[in-house]
Amino acid sequence: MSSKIKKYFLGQALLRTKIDEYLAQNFYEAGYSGVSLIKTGLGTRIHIYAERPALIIGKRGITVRELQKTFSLIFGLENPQITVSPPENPELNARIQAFRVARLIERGFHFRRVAFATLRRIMANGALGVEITISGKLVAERARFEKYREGKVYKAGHVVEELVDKAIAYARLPKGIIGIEVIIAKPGTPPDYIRVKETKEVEAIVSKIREEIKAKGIPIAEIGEIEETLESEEEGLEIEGFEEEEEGGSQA
Amino acid sequence: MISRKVIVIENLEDKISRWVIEEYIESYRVALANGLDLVVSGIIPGELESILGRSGVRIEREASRLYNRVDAILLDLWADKILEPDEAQAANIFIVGGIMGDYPPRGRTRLLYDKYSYATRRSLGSYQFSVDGAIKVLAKVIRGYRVEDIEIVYPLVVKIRGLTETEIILPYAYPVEDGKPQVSESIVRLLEKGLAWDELISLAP
Repeated sequence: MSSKIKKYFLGQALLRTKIDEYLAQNFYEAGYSGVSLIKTGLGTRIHIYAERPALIIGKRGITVRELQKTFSLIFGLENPQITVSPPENPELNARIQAFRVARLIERGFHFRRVAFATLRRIMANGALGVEITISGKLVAERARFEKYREGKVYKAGHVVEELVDKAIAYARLPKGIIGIEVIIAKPGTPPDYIRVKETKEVEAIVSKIREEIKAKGIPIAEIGEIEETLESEEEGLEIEGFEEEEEGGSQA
Repeated sequence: MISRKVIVIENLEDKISRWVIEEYIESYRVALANGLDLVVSGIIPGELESILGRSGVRIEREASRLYNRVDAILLDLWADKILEPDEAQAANIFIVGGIMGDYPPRGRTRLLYDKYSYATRRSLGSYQFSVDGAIKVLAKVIRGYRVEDIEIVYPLVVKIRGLTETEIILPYAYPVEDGKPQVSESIVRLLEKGLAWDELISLAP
């Protein structure tokens, strides 16, 4: 029984991956970013996210109708209903950005210029960090990798699942294929985030705590008194090890 | 009779770039410093020939006629055996492929198998070296070092200072001496500044 359930879910995930790869291969000019499949009573609702939905819909919906046929005949989806819309923030979507870099390199722009422009655009949209890696025969006859990084890029830990978006694209050039990898750390609060509170904020918290203590009727010493007592305690402290060392020094 | 050991670089690149020139000139410097002769052979574009000629590098149109001999060693990444110091000391000719390199390597040295049919094929380990890196390692092996004992760095990472953190990663091995990779300053300078300009010029219509 359990193996059947596993098989069902694995099949669903495999189907989703196949559809995703098919769309990524065929609609990367349209800035394809992702797909979601929902099974309803009437059939399957497919939501495609792309930077330029018009290219997926086509003239009078020709492309979408062809896509519908492909989904039902090749992928075996029942009564597929397709919706195409742009993603929420295309500038922070790694796949869209990777495809954009690939398209521009294919058009003949210099890869370094494209990478820097993309890096700045992503950072300007509030990303915590970006890393773009371009590899292959980058114009010169020798293969090499170039990595551009700005901000913080998380590569390990739970924060990767929460904040990091990663995508790979390929630019097909006469000299060979160039690989592009984009890693975006999306805006959010990572676990290593530390903010030093301002004096006003600290004062407000301290006064709030005092009020709470007063309300409970617990006697509280003034801050000045506490500081004095602390100082007097520090003066009265005898550090044994320190004295011993001093004594030893004098003997020598 | 060959009085000095000869290194033959068989140029397999049809285009010239500053990178090729810098590597060949660096190889020539290394060969001179180690008392070896260096010859560049193969189909060499006129411009490359004149630049190398001015730097003092010897050029032969078809070096295989002279150097396809039994006492020659063809350095090949795909060879079964690693070059031993005894073999290196006994041999008189070393053939290095003048290949700028692919990643993963395409094994273009096989284009030289027919040309140097009498040569023994030996490798310098499992990593692909740059042309000058291979010659630096070869010079050490001739001096008696075993390939396994030579410290190398793979891949070479060149960091470029600027507003954006930029790293150029070369998937090729380079020998290390005193903790520093043995790359000529001119090649590092070229990677940092010059190459982008060269590439832009090559893209211009």
